[in-house]
Amino acid sequence: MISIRKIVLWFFVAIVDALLGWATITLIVNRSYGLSVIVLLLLFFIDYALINPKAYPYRYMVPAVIILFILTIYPIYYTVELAFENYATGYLWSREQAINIMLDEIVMKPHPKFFGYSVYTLYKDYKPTQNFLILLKDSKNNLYVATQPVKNGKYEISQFKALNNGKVTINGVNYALIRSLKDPSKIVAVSVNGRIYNYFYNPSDSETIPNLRFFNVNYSSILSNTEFINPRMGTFFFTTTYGFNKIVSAQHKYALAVRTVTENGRSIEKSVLVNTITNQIVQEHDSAFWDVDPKTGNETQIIGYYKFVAFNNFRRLLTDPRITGPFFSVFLWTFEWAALSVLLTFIVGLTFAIILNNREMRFRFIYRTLLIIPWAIPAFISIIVWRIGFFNVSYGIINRIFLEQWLHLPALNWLGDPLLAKIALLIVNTWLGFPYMMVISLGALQSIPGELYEAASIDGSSKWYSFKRITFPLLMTPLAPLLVASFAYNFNNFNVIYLLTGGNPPIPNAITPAGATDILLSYTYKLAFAGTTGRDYSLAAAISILIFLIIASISAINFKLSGSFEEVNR
Amino acid sequence: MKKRIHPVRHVVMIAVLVVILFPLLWIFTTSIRRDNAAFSPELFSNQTTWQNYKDLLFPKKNIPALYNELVNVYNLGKPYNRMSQQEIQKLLNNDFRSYNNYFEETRTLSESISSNASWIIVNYLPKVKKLAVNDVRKNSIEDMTYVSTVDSYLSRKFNILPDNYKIAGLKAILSSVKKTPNIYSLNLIGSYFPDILKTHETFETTTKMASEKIRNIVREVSILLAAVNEPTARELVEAYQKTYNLLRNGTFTYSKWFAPIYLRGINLNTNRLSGIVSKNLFDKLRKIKNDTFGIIGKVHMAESNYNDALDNATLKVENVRNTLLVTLESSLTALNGRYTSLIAKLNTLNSNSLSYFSAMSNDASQISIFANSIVPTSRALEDTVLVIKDALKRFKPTASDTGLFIDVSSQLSSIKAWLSLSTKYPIFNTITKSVKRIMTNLEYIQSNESFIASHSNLDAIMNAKGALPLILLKLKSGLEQSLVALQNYDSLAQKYTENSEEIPKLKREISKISSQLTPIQNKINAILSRISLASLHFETEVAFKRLTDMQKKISTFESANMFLNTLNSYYAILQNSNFYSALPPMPKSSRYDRFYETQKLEDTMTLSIVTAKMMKEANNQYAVYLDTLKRRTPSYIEMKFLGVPFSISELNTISTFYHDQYVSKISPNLSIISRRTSDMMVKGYFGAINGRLNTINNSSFNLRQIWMIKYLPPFLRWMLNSVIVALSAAIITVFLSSLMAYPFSRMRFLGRKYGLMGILLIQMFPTMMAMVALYLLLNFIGKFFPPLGLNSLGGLAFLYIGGGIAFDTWLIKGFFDTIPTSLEEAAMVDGATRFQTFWRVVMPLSVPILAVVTILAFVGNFGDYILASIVMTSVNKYTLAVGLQTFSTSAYQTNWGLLTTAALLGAIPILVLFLSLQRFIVGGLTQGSVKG
Repeated sequence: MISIRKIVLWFFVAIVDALLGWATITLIVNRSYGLSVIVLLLLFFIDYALINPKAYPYRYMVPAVIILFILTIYPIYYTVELAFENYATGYLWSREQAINIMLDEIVMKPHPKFFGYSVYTLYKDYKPTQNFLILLKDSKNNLYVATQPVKNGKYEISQFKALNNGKVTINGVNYALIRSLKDPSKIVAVSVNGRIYNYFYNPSDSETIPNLRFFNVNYSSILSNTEFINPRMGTFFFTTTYGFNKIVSAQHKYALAVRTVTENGRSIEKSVLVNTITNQIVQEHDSAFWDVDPKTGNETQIIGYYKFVAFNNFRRLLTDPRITGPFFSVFLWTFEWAALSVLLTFIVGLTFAIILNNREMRFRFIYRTLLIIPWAIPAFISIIVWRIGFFNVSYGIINRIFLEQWLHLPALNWLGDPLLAKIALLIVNTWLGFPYMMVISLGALQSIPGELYEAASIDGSSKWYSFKRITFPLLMTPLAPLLVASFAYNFNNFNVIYLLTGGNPPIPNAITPAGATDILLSYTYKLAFAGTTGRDYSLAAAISILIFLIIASISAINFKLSGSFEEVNR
Repeated sequence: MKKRIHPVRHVVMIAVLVVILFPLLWIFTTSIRRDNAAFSPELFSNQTTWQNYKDLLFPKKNIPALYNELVNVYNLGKPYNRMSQQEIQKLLNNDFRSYNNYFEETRTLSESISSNASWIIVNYLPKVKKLAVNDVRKNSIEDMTYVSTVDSYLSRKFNILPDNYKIAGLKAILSSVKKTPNIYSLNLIGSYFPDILKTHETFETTTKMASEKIRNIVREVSILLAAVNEPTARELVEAYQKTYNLLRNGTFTYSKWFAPIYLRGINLNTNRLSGIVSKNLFDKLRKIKNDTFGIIGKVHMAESNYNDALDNATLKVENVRNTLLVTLESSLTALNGRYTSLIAKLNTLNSNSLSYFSAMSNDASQISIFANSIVPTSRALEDTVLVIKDALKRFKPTASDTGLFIDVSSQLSSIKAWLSLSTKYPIFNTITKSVKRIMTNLEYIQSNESFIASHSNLDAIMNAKGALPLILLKLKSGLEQSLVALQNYDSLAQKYTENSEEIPKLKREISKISSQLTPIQNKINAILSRISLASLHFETEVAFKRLTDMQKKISTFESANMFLNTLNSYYAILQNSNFYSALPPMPKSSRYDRFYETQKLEDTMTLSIVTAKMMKEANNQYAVYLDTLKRRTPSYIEMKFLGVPFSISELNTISTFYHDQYVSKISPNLSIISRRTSDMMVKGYFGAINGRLNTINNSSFNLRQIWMIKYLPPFLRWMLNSVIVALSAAIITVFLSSLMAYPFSRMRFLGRKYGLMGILLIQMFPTMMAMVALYLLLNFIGKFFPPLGLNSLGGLAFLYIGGGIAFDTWLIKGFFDTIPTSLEEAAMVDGATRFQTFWRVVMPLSVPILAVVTILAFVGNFGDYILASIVMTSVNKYTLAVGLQTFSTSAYQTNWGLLTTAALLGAIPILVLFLSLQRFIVGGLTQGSVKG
């Protein structure tokens, strides 16, 4: 019995290890070193938990820990890593990737040669197949056969050779043209070792247009990646300039070469990237590669790559005036927003709680239930209704009906004016949040013993006085941690901000997409995902870390207040 | 304790509740409105429909949607390319059947519209028209009082005006008389220019007499020519007749085009008849012709007299007006001219300043480019000279020193020129310093030239001699080229200074002129306002008299309409005048609502009949087109299946027809009909036909539902996605969390404390702050396992699980702590393993609590927007939260019916869940919050 369980356990361990081991190797191959370390740690944890009998408690945690590692710890690690890099639009590749992209770039030669072409296809059951070859025709009407492209590394390679008397042999395969009997200038097929390839597609022959679709689906992706090679004539490509109309003599724009360069005052031989058109060495600085114009000496950026930049992002936040200004206004508003939200919701909620706490009142339960409704509706639904139906400048009923029609006041630009947008946000957030405050205040009020009030009234204190001296202090003891928690919640209350104003209106002259009503979190989101001029993931990550530090310290205070740390120690 | 009733408290509570729940009320009422709430001036509407709910919950293809399906089917697009020929034929047959149902329905609906509308026109409209006319007659008395008040008010002001202002005020009324003479205006003008009245009277009587005479002539000529059966004769009679018609209608003078044509016709045709009729008859005709011309000549004479009188009067009025204004206006023009020229000058100066400045900075940057070569060269020169000095330290210059070392005079002269300019401008300080250094060194060389030269055999001097030419060459080119830039800069800087000094002077002058302008303008305005008072007075006089006459004659609907039109145009003049604010308030125009409503009713009913007819015809034509297509369908489908490439032009015909007929003609009419009928029902003037109006309204609404192009969001799909993702994530999270929470609650092991702290820390890090990492992670996973990748429900659920575990573990651990351990111990004593106690004892005990946590997690996941919006990219994968946001930007922005319906349908399940379980949920949420 026990041995069977052991076998099952070992089997399970083996499977998990195999899977995670494979994942680790795959990750290393894909250069995701961070993730691979996390997976490896996970693997050790699981093995330990499953094999060691003393580690029995850990077995319960295995599934949750797997998910925590992948979806929480790794992202945190990644965010931290990102915050110290310059990962942003224009710098989205690693250095190797950037070099590979440059090496892949193809340009037309300065005085290119052109080929027209026709595609010939092998049919099977009257249907075209994946087997095809290309007949090239130069400007003097000489014909060449290009073989079916063959995958070679990243590219497809096709060799081509001129036809002699309508015949040619390439790599031991015989190609022969078959001309139309009626019109000998037309080549209806090509015989390849006796197999017939039929005339299929030519971009300048309108009769073959019906085959264009098949060509586009099956051949074009191969052809766009094909190098046509002839030892004497050089390399030809389909280029973006001419699309699939012509094959053009072209070359790689950048190539690796060994050159003498001066470094630190000394000349050394070094393998460098060279622009094959201008024959200039590609410069590398500022986390990017640069082309040098030989005449003027001007440099133009080719491609950027990301790298470790230490505290650069944090420094930018504090010193670059075009980032700092908006950042601090966002920072300030985040605090104002959280504090005002808590204050307003608490005042409204407490007022209702005091009214409903009266045991003599009828229908208390009904009132309470109705007042909870704003809280019970998913916020994304109520916010969109507020936004489109109520606050919209031209259609919204606040402007159109309440202000203009009933009060004969001018319409207000609710979501376009910084102050009004903030007011609108606070109105909506108070509406959404007061029921929560009401409910917790009710709970706290009910726990205050009634004798205290009786004693106070015997002593002749007024209602206000007993509220000030009895209710409020007794209320704050249980509520203080909740209010702090609510502050932390509103500090990151992305939904209301993003869905109501989107952080708008924008702050003028900011180079980052900062808005007057953006809080830190929505600002981060816009930096990373919604920038119109570019996405700055690293700056976003840096701000994320700041947010985390703020929230962590607020929460630490809160845990002290609510005694969560004691609970840990129990 | 006895419960007391506090009515005031409840009233206040209910009022507050209404305010707080108003958004909800608004959502509901808007979702069932039939009109377009985004454009309606009413907050609520009593025209309701469940159409939006039907559209979202049970979407049914209407005619445009069916058409789209046809197009897709015939093109064998997705998903039809996988169907067999039979299936497609069957599908099409179904579509054709639905089409026919719609055609039938359209016929019925159009019929109901047109029958109801004609009934109203025939049986109801005459009655209300009569009522409306009475209404106008009754209400117009108030207007007449008002107009007479205005008249007397204006007359009082008018009477104290000097005469020339009065006359100047006649301008507007004169020009109106010139266009269309009317007796009221003429009488008024007559009191200032009696000539006009007199000539007009003469003109009228002449015309009248001429008309009598020509009538007789027409009779005579037709008798004379009765026997002549010739076209020319007929044409002649006709020409006379037409001339007579013009005269009789009094339109002779104003139809400057026709009169000569007819007269020429008389002349020509009379002459042509010369050979055809007997000489006797011809003579008679010629005499008649001459008589006619004589008569017409008199009319012309009278007319030109009248016109001359008018023109004279106009001229006089203009003169009077000009004399009033002439001096002021000329000085105003002069000042204005001066003002504009000064402003233009200022603008040139400003732009000059700007261009000088930019040119200067160009030069400065040029100079700084040369500084790059001059500064290091100056150092090199200094070094060289130092070497020379060092070498010569041991020697003393003597008188016998001869020889030439190197000539630096040309450099020195250009340096002097350089320095004379550059020292003026502090921005060149750095480079000036270098140039000064060059100068000292060169001066040293020049002054000691022979001394140096006589020691030129020294190594150091030889080196210097070798180095110096190159240095000097570099200096020369650098200095000379930068000198050009410097000179340029200097001249520009001078110009810039002069220019800047000019500007404040000019500004002072401009402000002086503008202060002179204002008083003149004020004077002119005062004069113009007096003139316009006179003018308004005349308008009022005329309007008063005319309206009085018209008001007396109100009897038919048309006459009432004419009265109101005249009244309104007079009121418009009043409102636009400067004196409007001084006048008593106008009678409210809403008093004539009944009349205007009646007019609208007539228009709308006529429009309804026309539109219903158009709809019926369009419907029949569409049916014919579709029938043709239906007949050919089997062949077409077969052809498509055989791969014959062709496009079905019948479909294009239908589309064009639909747009030409329905979209551009019928649809706007139907909306107008809908809106107007519902307005009329609200206003309630026609209570007796509310039923019929309602039918028309209903029918036109239903017609539009059948025919209009609707863009329906895949609401059910979104809802389903939300529920699937949120629920599955919630269940898995809670299961995994309770597994994790158990050892933390019941066992003691290494790392328990730090594990708990870690969980506490992790759950503070909001999932969305790591969204970049999560996005890339899902992208990565998706490459190997698409169901957990981007744009997949699984991927999103995966993220929710990851985001929820830490928090839920903490929550559930708290709950587990409250369960007494004695039960477990008992189970263990009975031989249960640890896992069995967890699974068989602890879990069943905590099911209610776990259920609440699950629901909380579900609600939380359901309400997430940001992660879903990042992960889900295709519309069909959207969750409700993401899908609903498309309403805020797309075509739905003003389609509040669909928006509010979707909002309500999305909110209700959560609302019900929340309210029915409120005690548990509230407890769970508040407890959770205590912990974080």
